[in-house]
Amino acid sequence: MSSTFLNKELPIILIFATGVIMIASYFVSAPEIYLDPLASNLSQAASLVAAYATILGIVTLAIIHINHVVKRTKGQWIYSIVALALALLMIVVGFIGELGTHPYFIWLYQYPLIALDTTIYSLLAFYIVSAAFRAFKVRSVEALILVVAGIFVMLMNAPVGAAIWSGFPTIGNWIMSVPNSSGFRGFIIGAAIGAIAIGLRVLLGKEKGVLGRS
Amino acid sequence: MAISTDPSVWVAALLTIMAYTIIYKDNPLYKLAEHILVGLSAGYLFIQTWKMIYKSSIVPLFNGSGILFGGITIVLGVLLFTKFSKRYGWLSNISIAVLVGTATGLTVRGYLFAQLIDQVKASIKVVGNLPPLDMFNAILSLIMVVCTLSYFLFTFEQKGALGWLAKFGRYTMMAAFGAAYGGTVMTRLTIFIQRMQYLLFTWLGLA
Amino acid sequence: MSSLEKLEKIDRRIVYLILIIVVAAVLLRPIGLPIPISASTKKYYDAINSLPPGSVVALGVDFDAGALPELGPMLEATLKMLFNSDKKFVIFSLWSGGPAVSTIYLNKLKDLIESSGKKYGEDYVLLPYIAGGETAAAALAKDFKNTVKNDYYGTSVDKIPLLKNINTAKDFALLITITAGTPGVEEYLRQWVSPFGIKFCVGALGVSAPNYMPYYTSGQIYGMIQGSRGAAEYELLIGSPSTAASSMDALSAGHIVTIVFILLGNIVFVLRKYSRKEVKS
Repeated sequence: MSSTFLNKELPIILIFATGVIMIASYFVSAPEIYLDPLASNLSQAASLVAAYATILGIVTLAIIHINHVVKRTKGQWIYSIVALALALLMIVVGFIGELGTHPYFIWLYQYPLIALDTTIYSLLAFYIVSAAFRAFKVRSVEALILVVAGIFVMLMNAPVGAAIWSGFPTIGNWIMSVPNSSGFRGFIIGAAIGAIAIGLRVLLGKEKGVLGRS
Repeated sequence: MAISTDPSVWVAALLTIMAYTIIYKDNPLYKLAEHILVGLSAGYLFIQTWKMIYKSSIVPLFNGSGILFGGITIVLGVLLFTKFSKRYGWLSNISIAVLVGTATGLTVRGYLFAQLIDQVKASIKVVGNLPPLDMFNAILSLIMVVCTLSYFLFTFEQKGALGWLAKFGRYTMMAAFGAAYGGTVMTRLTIFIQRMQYLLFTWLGLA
Repeated sequence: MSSLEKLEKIDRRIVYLILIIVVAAVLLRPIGLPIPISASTKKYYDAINSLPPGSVVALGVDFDAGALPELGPMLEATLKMLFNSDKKFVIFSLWSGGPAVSTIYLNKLKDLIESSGKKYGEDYVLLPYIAGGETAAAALAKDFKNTVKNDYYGTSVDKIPLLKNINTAKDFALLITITAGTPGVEEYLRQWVSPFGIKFCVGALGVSAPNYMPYYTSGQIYGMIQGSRGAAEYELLIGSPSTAASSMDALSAGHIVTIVFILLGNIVFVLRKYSRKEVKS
């Protein structure tokens, strides 16, 4: 077998074959060729490949930090040691007893990890309020609609809206279920058409970028 | 209530304050907090993912309950790691091909039914015995969906009637973005309020 | 620099400080504003409440630490309702954070679980994280037990009585996902709801709820808790006001601060525009 076949054509054939099996299993019943169990096993296998890919991602992250430590990158290598040490700690604790069930493992998640993760997410509250003052300017009809819809939805979400005027939640609900729903429905329909078209191109081998080649 | 004496609460509270120092200005404490999070998250994700691989791929191979399935998935998984080799890196494309092909097949059929057909059906349910207000909203909604879609029609120049439709579509999208902004504010504020509750009540005991 | 210019270029840290002070003040001195219940939350509650006794609910805990403040209260209230009911449920997760988050809440509700008499493995079960997003959702829907193999504590699924008759998505009476995004609502719609016709309820972040509205108005999503406000409504519905309900006054205060800053920003913008015009003329 030529290396071009293994390198370029085999992956495209695999994409086509696996994709067709998944689509076909939805429309046709073919127990004589075990189509249904084949499709079921294939989706389980693909999930596992995704799991291996996650491990690959973690290994890559570790390599980046190890490189920083080895090269003593200024202003970074000490932090890289911290990241590597805590990753290792979490992994070691995770291996005690049944994988990932030890109370210390849950403790590391419940206290340090949750505290840091939620705090970093919550920083956006500050940025969003600051941006509300600096950037949310009504310069056009579109901007006016954006601001008005935003304010009504905020007054629907916050109980104070209904306390000020009962119309706020009513109008907010209407914005959510009519203009908002229609706008996002337009996106969904458009995105679905796009995704189907791109999906078919991928299956037919026209989108080689998915394999990491230009 | 008095200040907490639970060391776990102190750890969480001090890390929270460490991360909040960024709102004054960038500093080593924040960077340290950030890297603690990166390390813990990576370690946690590793364990949860390894658990799945171990139980569903490795154990079936060795206990004989799924030799073929376990063997194939291990080979596909190991091939991914050839990415690190310049010479054998192309082998990882085989595993990626299985993942991409399967996921694409699944999404194509899924999009067709759940997101294209069902959403189009929902858009055109203007017929029937709807009360006048609901009928008005259903017709308005249909117009808005059509206008939003027409905004993305780039095959024709957006002039005349199409220009007007696209313009109304743009207004519809702006209302949707406004609603999304309202939702974003709620989410971000909620996370911030929860951290404040933790510091004020759980840690400092100011109930 | 004019005073308007000064106001426009105000140090962002002053804005941050105002937010902190207002929210802290309201947290310490709550007002107790009423919280009306919305239709979408009521339908989420009704969906669980109307299930026949012994029905099995699939509960997807599809979020991690970052979304905990908003989705945690929804999960806690859902678990409380399920433990207090005659329904059974299977907790699973397409997000790696799911098992740890579920463990935290199951530990928190230990007393309730004991008093409810529910037995692990017979009335409820916790499954491990399943990687793969869309492919994982599809694999679970088609062949539930073969996809997970073991529960979170390592027991084989064949030895768990609750899972004896669970083979595909069809064997669940209701699917609930409390989700922070992808994988979540759209993956379940494509792989569970559309092919298997299962009833579907969602606990969504406030930021994602507008995106899911088309699915709610089309009926593909039956009931939906929208953000922390929805969580507070749900807590009230089950008669157990908790974290979300207690944060509602502070949420109102935070919203008012945001709206005031939007309006103030625009007033300064308009005044500056007019003052520039005057200088020109």
